[in-house]
Amino acid sequence: MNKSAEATGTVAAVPDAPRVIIRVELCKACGLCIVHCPKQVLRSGAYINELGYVATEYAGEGCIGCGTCYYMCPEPGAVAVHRPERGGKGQKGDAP
Amino acid sequence: MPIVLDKPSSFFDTFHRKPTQQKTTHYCPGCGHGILHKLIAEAISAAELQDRCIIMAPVGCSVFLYYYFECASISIPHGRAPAVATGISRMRPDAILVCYQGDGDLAAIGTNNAIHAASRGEKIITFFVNNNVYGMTGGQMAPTTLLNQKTTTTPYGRTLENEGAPLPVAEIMATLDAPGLVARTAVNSPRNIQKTRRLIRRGFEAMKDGKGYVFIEVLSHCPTNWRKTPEEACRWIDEVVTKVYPLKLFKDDLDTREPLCREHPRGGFPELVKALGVRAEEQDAGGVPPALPNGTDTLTFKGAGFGGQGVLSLGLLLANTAMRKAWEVTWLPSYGPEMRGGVAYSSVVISRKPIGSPVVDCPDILIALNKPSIFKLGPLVPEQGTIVYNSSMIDELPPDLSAGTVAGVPATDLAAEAGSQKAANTVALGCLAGITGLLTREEIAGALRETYSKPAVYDLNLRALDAGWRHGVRQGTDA
Repeated sequence: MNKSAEATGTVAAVPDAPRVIIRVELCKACGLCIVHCPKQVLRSGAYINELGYVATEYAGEGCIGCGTCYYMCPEPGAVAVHRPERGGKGQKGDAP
Repeated sequence: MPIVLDKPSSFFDTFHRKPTQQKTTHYCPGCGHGILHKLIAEAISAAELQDRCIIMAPVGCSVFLYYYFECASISIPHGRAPAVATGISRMRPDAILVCYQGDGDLAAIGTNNAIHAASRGEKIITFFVNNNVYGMTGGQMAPTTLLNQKTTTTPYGRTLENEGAPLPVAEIMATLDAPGLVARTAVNSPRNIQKTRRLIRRGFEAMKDGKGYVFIEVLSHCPTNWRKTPEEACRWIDEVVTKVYPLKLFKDDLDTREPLCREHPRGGFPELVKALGVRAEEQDAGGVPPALPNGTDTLTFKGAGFGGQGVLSLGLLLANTAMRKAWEVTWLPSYGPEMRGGVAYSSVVISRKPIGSPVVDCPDILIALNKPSIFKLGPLVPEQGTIVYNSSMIDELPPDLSAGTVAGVPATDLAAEAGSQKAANTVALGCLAGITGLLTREEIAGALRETYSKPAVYDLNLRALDAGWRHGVRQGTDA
């Protein structure tokens, strides 16, 4: 987990609701997560990061925690997805 | 516990490639490498193989992957990853060897290495990242470039007539017996990524079980060199690339395979000596190596002449003789492609200590059998050095010699008198021994007996040795 990279994912109203965290300073704005998000809850934001890219942002609600954006993102630490347990045991980096 | 998908632990937290931007890779936006990196790192963490993995960093865009994966990694010359991995695998059978190679690395310069490693069934998991172009160098045509695809070196598109057909590497690998898993996947869509992800995990699990060669070709997108947006590039893989390179599991018989256990070399030095058929008297002379004539620990020698003058044999004879005196020796031949003519060198290092390098730049002793040799190498011999030259063929000396001892011996003439011009090399060595006292006549004669089993040849060389020896002793006395 990147402690130094700023996590700006909006925390959903329900604390343990599925959510995506996009670390805006690591985003290269390739847009693959936006295109492939099944719920279309990611969008190009207004913030231009230090790399010079218009960082992607989470709309704030609607994430189902499917992990598509995490796997489509080529940057190792730019996207993280949290999802409450659905029965089976989960661990860091494990399959959704 | 909620499920968290985040940077896998097999990545470094910080990438120390340069002082800034230490959290991001060097890849272009939307690059397929990053996606595959993530899948591999995730699989390594999941299989708990981080401490056993050794990743071969190739030449290509992924050249810096050792900055990203927190595993052992080695930077490998272009295309040679399978060769290095093979070496490591033989010495460290427990290591999980990961070859991560692009299409320039695996399908162009390193095709031979890759195919032979696969055919040997090495314990290697290979990721062949196929993006149809040379990425790092700026989008030139690769062997895997599609027909009609425009690249910087095929500006009108690749044609069958000029550049040939795209190379189907996975199909070729699948024809081999040894690989346990051969597949082609892609990382251009969520569906394909999940398939790739499962396949990679299966590959690493097999590696964990000690099973043989795994080959996964991954179709990757290169938005920059394809001149497309990342989205267009991903779509182009589905619409065009997979028509030429179909996604397929070509082969998977890992379940029916036994773990690969190579028999380790048994025994130690004595068994090796026996297996090589080395006679007792050739074995390590033992004892304390005597002092060298130049008073230091190491003496370097170079013999030089036309190919066919026996320069290599000369060095070998010197090395063999020196070895009997408990000195450490190396012999390094160097010659052109011609069997006769051309230039030949042999470098010999004699030392009282283990020798680090067999390369000799400025020899303490030079035997020059022809004129080009003394003009090229003579000036390199230091002041306290010795030059023995073949005065039968060398009628003038370079003006800038600094060697303390420069002795001519009519080696070719003396050899002819002894029976054959071919023995000029032995004459020169005899002369050197007579001058320097590095070796005795008897020591060289002993080595000659080992070298030349035919009595006539041995007798000829013995006469040549004596002629050279007498000449050398006379010269030494004169000096």
